[in-house]
Amino acid sequence: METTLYTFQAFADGAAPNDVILGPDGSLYGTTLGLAPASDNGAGTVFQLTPPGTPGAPWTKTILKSFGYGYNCGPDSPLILHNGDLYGAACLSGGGVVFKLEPPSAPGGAWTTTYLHHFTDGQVPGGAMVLTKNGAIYGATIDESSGTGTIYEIAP
Amino acid sequence: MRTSRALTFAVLAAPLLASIAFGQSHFATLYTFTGYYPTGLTYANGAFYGATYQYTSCGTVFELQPPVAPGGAWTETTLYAFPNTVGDPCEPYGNLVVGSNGALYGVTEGGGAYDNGGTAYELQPPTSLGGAWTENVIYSFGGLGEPGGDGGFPTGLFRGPAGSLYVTTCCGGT
Repeated sequence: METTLYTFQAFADGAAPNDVILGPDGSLYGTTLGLAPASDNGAGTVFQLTPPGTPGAPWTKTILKSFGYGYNCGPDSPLILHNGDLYGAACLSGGGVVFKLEPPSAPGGAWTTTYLHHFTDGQVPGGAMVLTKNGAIYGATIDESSGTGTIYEIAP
Repeated sequence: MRTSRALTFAVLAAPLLASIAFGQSHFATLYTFTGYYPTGLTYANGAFYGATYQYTSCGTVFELQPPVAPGGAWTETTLYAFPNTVGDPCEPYGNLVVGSNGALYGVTEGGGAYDNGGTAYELQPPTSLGGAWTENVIYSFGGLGEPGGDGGFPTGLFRGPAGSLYVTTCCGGT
Protein backbone atom coordinates (compact mmCIF):
# COMPACT_ATOMS: atom_id res chain seq x y z
CA MET A 1 0.00 0.00 0.00
CA GLU A 2 1.24 3.42 -0.88
CA THR A 3 0.60 6.49 1.25
CA THR A 4 1.44 9.97 0.10
CA LEU A 5 3.15 11.77 2.97
CA TYR A 6 3.61 15.08 1.23
CA THR A 7 2.98 16.65 -2.17
CA PHE A 8 5.55 19.19 -3.29
CA GLN A 9 4.00 22.47 -4.36
CA ALA A 10 6.70 23.46 -6.88
CA PHE A 11 7.97 27.02 -7.09
CA ALA A 12 9.60 27.99 -3.79
CA ASP A 13 8.36 24.80 -2.15
CA GLY A 14 10.47 22.73 -4.51
CA ALA A 15 9.73 19.73 -6.69
CA ALA A 16 11.47 16.63 -7.98
CA PRO A 17 12.67 15.36 -4.60
CA ASN A 18 15.83 13.26 -4.56
CA ASP A 19 16.91 10.65 -2.08
CA VAL A 20 15.50 10.95 1.42
CA ILE A 21 17.14 9.67 4.58
CA LEU A 22 15.51 8.73 7.87
CA GLY A 23 16.75 10.60 10.92
CA PRO A 24 16.83 9.22 14.47
CA ASP A 25 14.05 11.68 15.30
CA GLY A 26 11.73 9.92 12.84
CA SER A 27 11.93 12.78 10.38
CA LEU A 28 12.79 12.33 6.71
CA TYR A 29 15.49 14.60 5.33
CA GLY A 30 15.85 15.14 1.60
CA THR A 31 16.53 17.56 -1.20
CA THR A 32 14.74 18.90 -4.24
CA LEU A 33 16.52 19.55 -7.47
CA GLY A 34 16.25 23.11 -8.67
CA LEU A 35 15.08 23.28 -12.25
CA ALA A 36 14.41 25.98 -14.80
CA PRO A 37 14.70 29.47 -13.37
CA ALA A 38 11.64 30.67 -11.50
CA SER A 39 9.42 28.06 -13.04
CA ASP A 40 6.92 25.70 -11.53
CA ASN A 41 9.63 23.06 -11.59
CA GLY A 42 10.67 24.34 -8.25
CA ALA A 43 13.64 25.58 -6.32
CA GLY A 44 16.57 23.56 -5.03
CA THR A 45 15.97 22.96 -1.34
CA VAL A 46 16.94 20.88 1.66
CA PHE A 47 13.83 19.84 3.53
CA GLN A 48 12.67 18.03 6.64
CA LEU A 49 9.45 16.04 6.77
CA THR A 50 8.30 15.63 10.36
CA PRO A 51 5.83 12.88 11.17
CA PRO A 52 2.49 13.84 12.68
CA GLY A 53 1.85 13.53 16.39
CA THR A 54 -1.22 11.45 15.73
CA PRO A 55 -1.42 8.70 13.12
CA GLY A 56 -3.07 9.75 9.89
CA ALA A 57 -2.51 13.45 10.39
CA PRO A 58 -0.44 15.32 7.77
CA TRP A 59 3.34 15.33 7.86
CA THR A 60 4.92 18.75 8.31
CA LYS A 61 7.47 19.94 5.80
CA THR A 62 10.09 22.51 6.69
CA ILE A 63 12.58 23.99 4.23
CA LEU A 64 15.91 24.06 6.02
CA LYS A 65 17.78 25.72 3.17
CA SER A 66 16.84 27.04 -0.27
CA PHE A 67 19.37 27.34 -3.05
CA GLY A 68 16.93 29.13 -5.32
CA TYR A 69 16.33 28.26 -8.95
CA GLY A 70 18.75 26.89 -11.48
CA TYR A 71 18.69 24.72 -14.53
CA ASN A 72 19.02 21.09 -13.43
CA CYS A 73 20.92 22.49 -10.54
CA GLY A 74 20.58 22.07 -6.86
CA PRO A 75 21.49 19.88 -3.94
CA ASP A 76 21.79 16.70 -6.00
CA SER A 77 23.76 14.59 -3.51
CA PRO A 78 22.13 12.30 -0.99
CA LEU A 79 22.34 14.01 2.38
CA ILE A 80 24.57 12.71 5.15
CA LEU A 81 23.22 13.07 8.69
CA HIS A 82 25.91 13.02 11.37
CA ASN A 83 25.64 14.22 14.98
CA GLY A 84 22.52 16.13 14.04
CA ASP A 85 24.21 18.02 11.21
CA LEU A 86 23.36 17.58 7.54
CA TYR A 87 26.02 17.48 4.86
CA GLY A 88 25.36 17.83 1.14
CA ALA A 89 26.46 19.34 -2.13
CA ALA A 90 24.80 21.63 -4.64
CA CYS A 91 25.71 23.46 -7.77
CA LEU A 92 26.04 27.20 -7.43
CA SER A 93 27.53 29.98 -9.47
CA GLY A 94 30.94 29.03 -10.80
CA GLY A 95 30.55 25.37 -10.00
CA GLY A 96 29.10 24.32 -6.71
CA VAL A 97 29.38 24.05 -2.97
CA VAL A 98 29.73 21.42 -0.30
CA PHE A 99 27.65 22.53 2.64
CA LYS A 100 26.93 21.72 6.25
CA LEU A 101 23.61 22.56 7.88
CA GLU A 102 23.53 22.80 11.67
CA PRO A 103 20.23 22.70 13.52
CA PRO A 104 19.10 25.74 15.49
CA SER A 105 20.01 25.92 19.16
CA ALA A 106 16.40 26.59 20.03
CA PRO A 107 13.37 24.90 18.43
CA GLY A 108 11.93 26.89 15.55
CA GLY A 109 15.12 28.80 14.84
CA ALA A 110 16.91 28.85 11.53
CA TRP A 111 19.44 26.26 10.48
CA THR A 112 22.96 27.57 10.01
CA THR A 113 24.62 27.02 6.64
CA THR A 114 28.37 26.67 6.41
CA TYR A 115 29.97 26.26 3.02
CA LEU A 116 32.87 23.89 3.49
CA HIS A 117 34.11 24.53 -0.03
CA HIS A 118 33.02 26.63 -3.00
CA PHE A 119 34.05 25.24 -6.36
CA THR A 120 34.69 28.20 -8.64
CA ASP A 121 36.52 26.32 -11.41
CA GLY A 122 33.44 24.87 -13.08
CA GLN A 123 33.56 21.57 -11.23
CA VAL A 124 30.09 20.69 -9.93
CA PRO A 125 29.92 18.38 -6.91
CA GLY A 126 27.31 15.62 -7.06
CA GLY A 127 26.49 12.07 -6.23
CA ALA A 128 27.09 10.17 -3.03
CA MET A 129 29.70 11.59 -0.66
CA VAL A 130 31.69 9.90 2.10
CA LEU A 131 32.07 11.40 5.59
CA THR A 132 34.82 9.77 7.65
CA LYS A 133 34.97 9.43 11.42
CA ASN A 134 37.47 12.26 11.69
CA GLY A 135 35.17 14.59 9.79
CA ALA A 136 36.78 14.54 6.36
CA ILE A 137 34.48 14.59 3.35
CA TYR A 138 35.20 12.88 0.06
CA GLY A 139 33.16 13.31 -3.08
CA ALA A 140 33.01 13.52 -6.85
CA THR A 141 32.68 16.47 -9.24
CA ILE A 142 31.85 16.86 -12.91
CA ASP A 143 32.72 19.62 -15.36
CA GLU A 144 31.37 18.67 -18.74
CA SER A 145 32.60 21.87 -20.35
CA SER A 146 36.21 20.87 -19.75
CA GLY A 147 35.53 17.15 -20.09
CA THR A 148 36.89 16.37 -16.66
CA GLY A 149 35.74 15.16 -13.30
CA THR A 150 37.49 14.94 -9.96
CA ILE A 151 37.59 13.23 -6.61
CA TYR A 152 38.10 15.73 -3.79
CA GLU A 153 38.84 15.77 -0.09
CA ILE A 154 37.73 18.36 2.43
CA ALA A 155 39.61 17.85 5.68
CA PRO A 156 38.47 19.57 8.86
CA MET B 1 18.07 11.05 -20.65
CA ARG B 2 21.58 12.01 -19.98
CA THR B 3 21.01 15.69 -20.41
CA SER B 4 18.16 15.70 -17.93
CA ARG B 5 20.29 14.09 -15.25
CA ALA B 6 23.62 15.66 -15.96
CA LEU B 7 24.75 18.31 -13.59
CA THR B 8 24.75 21.10 -16.03
CA PHE B 9 25.76 24.49 -14.99
CA ALA B 10 23.52 26.90 -13.52
CA VAL B 11 24.20 30.42 -12.81
CA LEU B 12 22.16 31.21 -9.79
CA ALA B 13 21.33 34.63 -8.56
CA ALA B 14 24.48 36.38 -7.46
CA PRO B 15 22.98 37.72 -4.23
CA LEU B 16 22.95 34.17 -2.91
CA LEU B 17 26.69 34.38 -2.49
CA ALA B 18 26.48 37.38 -0.27
CA SER B 19 25.19 35.34 2.62
CA ILE B 20 27.74 32.58 2.35
CA ALA B 21 29.72 31.79 5.46
CA PHE B 22 32.81 29.75 4.73
CA GLY B 23 34.11 27.28 7.26
CA GLN B 24 37.73 26.57 7.99
CA SER B 25 38.63 23.49 6.04
CA HIS B 26 41.35 22.14 3.83
CA PHE B 27 40.47 21.31 0.27
CA ALA B 28 42.40 19.02 -2.03
CA THR B 29 41.74 17.48 -5.41
CA LEU B 30 42.83 13.89 -5.11
CA TYR B 31 42.30 12.71 -8.66
CA THR B 32 41.15 14.07 -12.02
CA PHE B 33 39.26 12.08 -14.63
CA THR B 34 39.59 13.24 -18.22
CA GLY B 35 36.91 12.30 -20.71
CA TYR B 36 34.71 10.55 -18.20
CA TYR B 37 32.79 11.61 -15.13
CA PRO B 38 32.50 10.13 -11.65
CA THR B 39 28.93 9.96 -10.36
CA GLY B 40 29.55 9.40 -6.67
CA LEU B 41 31.78 7.75 -4.09
CA THR B 42 31.53 4.75 -1.80
CA TYR B 43 34.17 3.76 0.76
CA ALA B 44 35.06 0.19 1.65
CA ASN B 45 38.13 -1.63 2.87
CA GLY B 46 40.53 1.28 2.55
CA ALA B 47 39.61 2.38 -0.95
CA PHE B 48 36.97 4.40 -2.76
CA TYR B 49 34.69 2.92 -5.37
CA GLY B 50 32.47 4.60 -7.90
CA ALA B 51 30.96 4.56 -11.35
CA THR B 52 31.64 6.86 -14.28
CA TYR B 53 29.77 7.77 -17.41
CA GLN B 54 31.15 8.91 -20.73
CA TYR B 55 29.43 9.85 -23.94
CA THR B 56 31.50 7.69 -26.22
CA SER B 57 31.00 4.41 -24.41
CA CYS B 58 28.99 2.76 -21.68
CA GLY B 59 30.97 3.85 -18.66
CA THR B 60 33.13 2.20 -16.05
CA VAL B 61 33.37 1.14 -12.43
CA PHE B 62 36.56 2.29 -10.74
CA GLU B 63 38.58 1.84 -7.60
CA LEU B 64 40.63 4.72 -6.18
CA GLN B 65 43.46 3.67 -3.88
CA PRO B 66 45.19 6.11 -1.54
CA PRO B 67 48.88 6.81 -2.04
CA VAL B 68 51.30 4.35 -0.47
CA ALA B 69 53.31 7.25 0.98
CA PRO B 70 52.03 10.58 2.29
CA GLY B 71 51.77 13.14 -0.49
CA GLY B 72 51.91 10.54 -3.23
CA ALA B 73 49.42 10.14 -6.04
CA TRP B 74 46.11 8.34 -5.76
CA THR B 75 45.74 5.42 -8.14
CA GLU B 76 42.63 4.83 -10.19
CA THR B 77 41.99 1.35 -11.51
CA THR B 78 39.17 0.57 -13.92
CA LEU B 79 37.64 -2.55 -12.47
CA TYR B 80 35.13 -2.96 -15.25
CA ALA B 81 34.19 -1.21 -18.48
CA PHE B 82 30.67 -1.91 -19.61
CA PRO B 83 30.72 -3.28 -23.15
CA ASN B 84 28.65 -1.28 -25.58
CA THR B 85 26.56 -4.21 -26.71
CA VAL B 86 22.82 -4.52 -26.98
CA GLY B 87 21.23 -5.84 -23.80
CA ASP B 88 24.23 -5.21 -21.58
CA PRO B 89 24.13 -2.63 -18.78
CA CYS B 90 25.15 0.84 -19.91
CA GLU B 91 25.61 4.20 -18.21
CA PRO B 92 26.10 3.36 -14.54
CA TYR B 93 24.71 6.02 -12.27
CA GLY B 94 24.46 6.70 -8.58
CA ASN B 95 26.07 5.04 -5.65
CA LEU B 96 27.62 1.60 -5.43
CA VAL B 97 26.97 -0.87 -2.66
CA VAL B 98 29.88 -3.04 -1.57
CA GLY B 99 28.79 -6.51 -0.52
CA SER B 100 30.34 -8.46 2.34
CA ASN B 101 31.64 -10.87 -0.26
CA GLY B 102 33.58 -8.08 -2.00
CA ALA B 103 31.12 -7.83 -4.86
CA LEU B 104 29.99 -4.41 -6.08
CA TYR B 105 26.36 -3.63 -6.79
CA GLY B 106 24.97 -0.72 -8.77
CA VAL B 107 22.44 0.42 -11.30
CA THR B 108 22.66 1.68 -14.86
CA GLU B 109 20.38 4.12 -16.62
CA GLY B 110 20.56 2.24 -19.89
CA GLY B 111 20.96 -1.19 -21.31
CA GLY B 112 19.22 -4.32 -20.17
CA ALA B 113 16.64 -6.62 -21.60
CA TYR B 114 13.92 -3.99 -22.09
CA ASP B 115 15.00 -1.43 -24.63
CA ASN B 116 17.42 0.59 -22.52
CA GLY B 117 15.25 0.70 -19.41
CA GLY B 118 18.30 0.24 -17.25
CA THR B 119 19.60 -2.50 -15.01
CA ALA B 120 20.78 -3.46 -11.58
CA TYR B 121 24.07 -5.29 -11.84
CA GLU B 122 26.59 -7.17 -9.75
CA LEU B 123 30.33 -7.21 -10.28
CA GLN B 124 32.08 -10.20 -8.76
CA PRO B 125 35.76 -9.76 -7.95
CA PRO B 126 38.30 -11.87 -9.81
CA THR B 127 39.10 -15.25 -8.36
CA SER B 128 42.80 -14.74 -8.93
CA LEU B 129 44.97 -11.67 -8.47
CA GLY B 130 44.81 -9.46 -11.56
CA GLY B 131 41.96 -11.41 -13.07
CA ALA B 132 38.84 -9.87 -14.59
CA TRP B 133 35.72 -8.85 -12.70
CA THR B 134 32.56 -10.68 -13.72
CA GLU B 135 29.35 -8.83 -14.54
CA ASN B 136 25.95 -10.28 -13.74
CA VAL B 137 22.69 -8.55 -14.52
CA ILE B 138 20.49 -8.87 -11.44
CA TYR B 139 17.48 -7.18 -12.95
CA SER B 140 16.42 -5.34 -16.08
CA PHE B 141 14.04 -2.44 -15.66
CA GLY B 142 11.09 -2.14 -17.98
CA GLY B 143 11.28 1.46 -18.94
CA LEU B 144 8.32 3.60 -19.82
CA GLY B 145 5.61 1.70 -21.59
CA GLU B 146 7.79 -1.32 -22.09
CA PRO B 147 7.16 -4.91 -21.11
CA GLY B 148 7.72 -5.17 -17.41
CA GLY B 149 6.20 -1.76 -16.86
CA ASP B 150 7.89 -1.35 -13.52
CA GLY B 151 9.49 1.98 -14.10
CA GLY B 152 12.72 2.71 -15.83
CA PHE B 153 15.92 4.62 -15.40
CA PRO B 154 16.96 3.50 -11.93
CA THR B 155 18.63 6.31 -10.05
CA GLY B 156 19.91 4.79 -6.86
CA LEU B 157 20.56 1.60 -4.98
CA PHE B 158 20.34 1.02 -1.26
CA ARG B 159 20.97 -1.95 0.96
CA GLY B 160 18.17 -2.97 3.26
CA PRO B 161 18.60 -4.43 6.72
CA ALA B 162 18.07 -8.01 5.61
CA GLY B 163 20.52 -7.96 2.73
CA SER B 164 17.97 -6.95 0.12
CA LEU B 165 18.77 -4.22 -2.35
CA TYR B 166 16.29 -1.42 -2.92
CA VAL B 167 16.22 0.62 -6.08
CA THR B 168 14.64 3.97 -6.86
CA THR B 169 13.63 4.68 -10.43
CA CYS B 170 13.03 7.88 -12.27
CA CYS B 171 9.89 7.51 -14.26
CA GLY B 172 6.77 5.71 -13.26
CA GLY B 173 8.40 3.17 -11.06
CA THR B 174 9.41 2.59 -7.51
